[in-house]
Amino acid sequence: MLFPTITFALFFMIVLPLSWLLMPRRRRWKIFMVVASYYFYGYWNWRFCFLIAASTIGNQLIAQRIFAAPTEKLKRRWLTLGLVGNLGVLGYFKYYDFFVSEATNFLDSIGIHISPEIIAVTLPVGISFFTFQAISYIVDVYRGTFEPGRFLDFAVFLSFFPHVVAGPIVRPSEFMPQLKEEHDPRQIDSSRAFFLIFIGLFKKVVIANVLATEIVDSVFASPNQHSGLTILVAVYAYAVQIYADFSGYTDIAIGLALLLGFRFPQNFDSPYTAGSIQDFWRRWHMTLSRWLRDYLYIPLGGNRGRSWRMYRNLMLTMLIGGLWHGAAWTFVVWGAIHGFFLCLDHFRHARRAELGRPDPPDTVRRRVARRLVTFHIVCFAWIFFRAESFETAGDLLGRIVDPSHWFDAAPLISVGVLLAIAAGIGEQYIPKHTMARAMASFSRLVPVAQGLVLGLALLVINTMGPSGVAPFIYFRF
Amino acid sequence: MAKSKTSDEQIPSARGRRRSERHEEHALAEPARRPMSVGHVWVVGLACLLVGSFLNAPGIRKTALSQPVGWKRDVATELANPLYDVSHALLLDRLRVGLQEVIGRSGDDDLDLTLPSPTIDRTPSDASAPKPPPKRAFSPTNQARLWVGGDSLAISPGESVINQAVATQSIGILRTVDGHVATGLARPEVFNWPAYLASVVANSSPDAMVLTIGSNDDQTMTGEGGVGPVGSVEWQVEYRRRVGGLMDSVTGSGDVTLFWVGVPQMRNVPRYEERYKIINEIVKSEADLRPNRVYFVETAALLAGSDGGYADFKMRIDGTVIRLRAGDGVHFERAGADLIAGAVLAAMHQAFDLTSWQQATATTTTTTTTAPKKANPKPTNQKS
Repeated sequence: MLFPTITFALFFMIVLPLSWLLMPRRRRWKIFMVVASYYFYGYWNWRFCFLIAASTIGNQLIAQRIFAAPTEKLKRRWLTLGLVGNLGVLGYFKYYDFFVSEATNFLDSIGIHISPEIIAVTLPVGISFFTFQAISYIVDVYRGTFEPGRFLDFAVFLSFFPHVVAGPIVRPSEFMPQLKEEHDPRQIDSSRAFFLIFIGLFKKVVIANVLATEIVDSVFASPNQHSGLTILVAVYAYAVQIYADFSGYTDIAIGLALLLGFRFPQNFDSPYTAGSIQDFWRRWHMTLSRWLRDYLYIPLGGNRGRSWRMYRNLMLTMLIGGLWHGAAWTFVVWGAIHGFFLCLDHFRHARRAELGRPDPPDTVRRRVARRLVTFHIVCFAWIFFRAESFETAGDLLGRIVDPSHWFDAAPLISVGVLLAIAAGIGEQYIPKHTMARAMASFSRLVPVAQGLVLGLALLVINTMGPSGVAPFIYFRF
Repeated sequence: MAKSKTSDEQIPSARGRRRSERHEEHALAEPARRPMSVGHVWVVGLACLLVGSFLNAPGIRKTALSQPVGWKRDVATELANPLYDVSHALLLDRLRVGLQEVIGRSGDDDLDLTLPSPTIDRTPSDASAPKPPPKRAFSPTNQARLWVGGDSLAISPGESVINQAVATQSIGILRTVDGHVATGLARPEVFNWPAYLASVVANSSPDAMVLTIGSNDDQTMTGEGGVGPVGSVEWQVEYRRRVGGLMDSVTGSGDVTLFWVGVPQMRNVPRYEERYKIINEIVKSEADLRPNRVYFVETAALLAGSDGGYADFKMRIDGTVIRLRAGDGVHFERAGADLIAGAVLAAMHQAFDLTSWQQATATTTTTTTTAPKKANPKPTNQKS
């Protein structure tokens, strides 16, 4: 079930009052929420409900075994089993085709011919997200920072429909204690929730979909048919599209959870205002970056030990983060580019500290320059992320730097495309207090007036968005 | 990577500090939001949906009609029609119409259910049939104007067609792939292909059109002459009428050559065997009735595995494995799209003379012994 559909609107209008009605009876509420979430998830393919159910049962059993194990050695064994199980399932669904065909092609290149049985494995929607949440659960239990919850609590945590498909990646310590809290049905932060939902809808349905259909898809499919200028604009457009698409989804998810009485962590914080790659990763897909930091980078050694180890750990983390996005080498290169510039950032700061030099003053000009440089590094990496192959990425880059095609006809650069890019970037520069004031003003309207305003917003979103609803980009990750 | 607080935190300048302090003050003085009860939240949601429904009534009516034929569509239409009537009577739909005009999308909600019938003599050609006309010749200075479009199956292969067509230098592209997802001939209320293609022909004067539709047509047909169930004799008669009508309306003037890409095999084998084979046969037989005007491009065998059936992967002659089909068992990966594009280009070479200019250029080069002038590589990327 997709958020921007009438089907989901009706589903939520039924779930919302029932959820609050059942809230005082915790056990019934949890059963209801699991059923509703499985219905939501099974709307794509009901068979995948068995997968999420198996993940719930398996990880809960592992967590309990880890918690009850008397020795560290035994705890570690259970943890290893849990990690192998989770990563095995993820690897099978996500990387099986990739590794088998790559291995076949490699063996063929060295003269060993095999004909393996390759089956196309259908990727269950959101598998990366709920698997990462399950891993954080068993690792936290192993580390002793979290005690295993009740089975139903864990089932709600893993399947909760606002975040099951594309995050944000919520930690058990953030969500499961909320199941024990008292939720007051008279104190819903509805204005913030509605703002998040409708801004998210606008970002997804209008900005992301317009950019995808008007320029991005065509240019990335056939780069050699377009001028250098068109390709450059298409790269900017993709940077905005993926931001609008993904942050739009998580805005809606956070808003829906708020209406149900739950708080999710922030996932985006104006990432294209970042002044460095390090800063970018504090603002982009924040719940994934902190997951990678806590469950990969730090276990690898983090920034302990010699500096080369830190650089190695950073690179490894980013390479694996790249591969997490999909089974293709282009994603690995995307991770490598980010890893390289992160290492460069660290090296620059370490060198400055060694030499005892203070950071240069933060002037407006320097801040603008940093933001521009960072944005362009990120855009450069997006080329590899979006391109179907290295050949396509090479064509795109070649066309951008080739002056002979720079000013060829550019019919895809329309006013609508430029406005969508400007809106997607401009939204990140809206001061927080302006938004806060707007939400406060909105919250003082009577309910019917609020409904009228939101109805008008629906008119704008529905009319301006292209027909049909494209799936969210991050569903396949 | 989000690391702990760090060395790159900047010392703010005096100006910057003042600004950040101001922001902090603003944050501290953030006006409080008034919380709401769940009952009121529900009222807001309901009011929003009601207002949004009346304002978007024309779009909702079209969406309702576009549902798969069945009770859900009947219910949706029963609700959407009075909604539209009320909205129209109260002029509430004017806001949407006005907004569509502003953004240049007038007519998005229009419904055109008429479909043309064939205009050719349907008796099969015999030995006395006229000799085929000579192939139309194209060159870099006189490029064939190509339009590529269709349903979702047209998109990836269409992109590959564009890449391969431009490489001939004799073909110019009118616009990027004109894809309309979930459309076909069965449901003119969703998208009326004959009417749309007639406007493309009138406005852009293409020489060649590559059309991929059919994969969404395995359903009861609606609109003028609508009939079901899919596959019945009546259904086949009506589908044949629609296919022939489209072919004639596009190629009737004799200026346009149509390349109709067939529906490939799908992972859902019974669906292909029972439905798409019929659709392919109808399209192929109608194309055969219009020699030199319509070419049917076969895709089923092209993408078949070693057993002649559906295949996700294929091993090339050089031993490398390529993935042909997307995970849904319907759409294409790039390698599959490239194979289809190759077949389309082969059909275009059969229909047109796209290469004799090279011999002429080579002859000129030899006789004048001048350096070969690079053929115009600039794509004619004009949006229709």
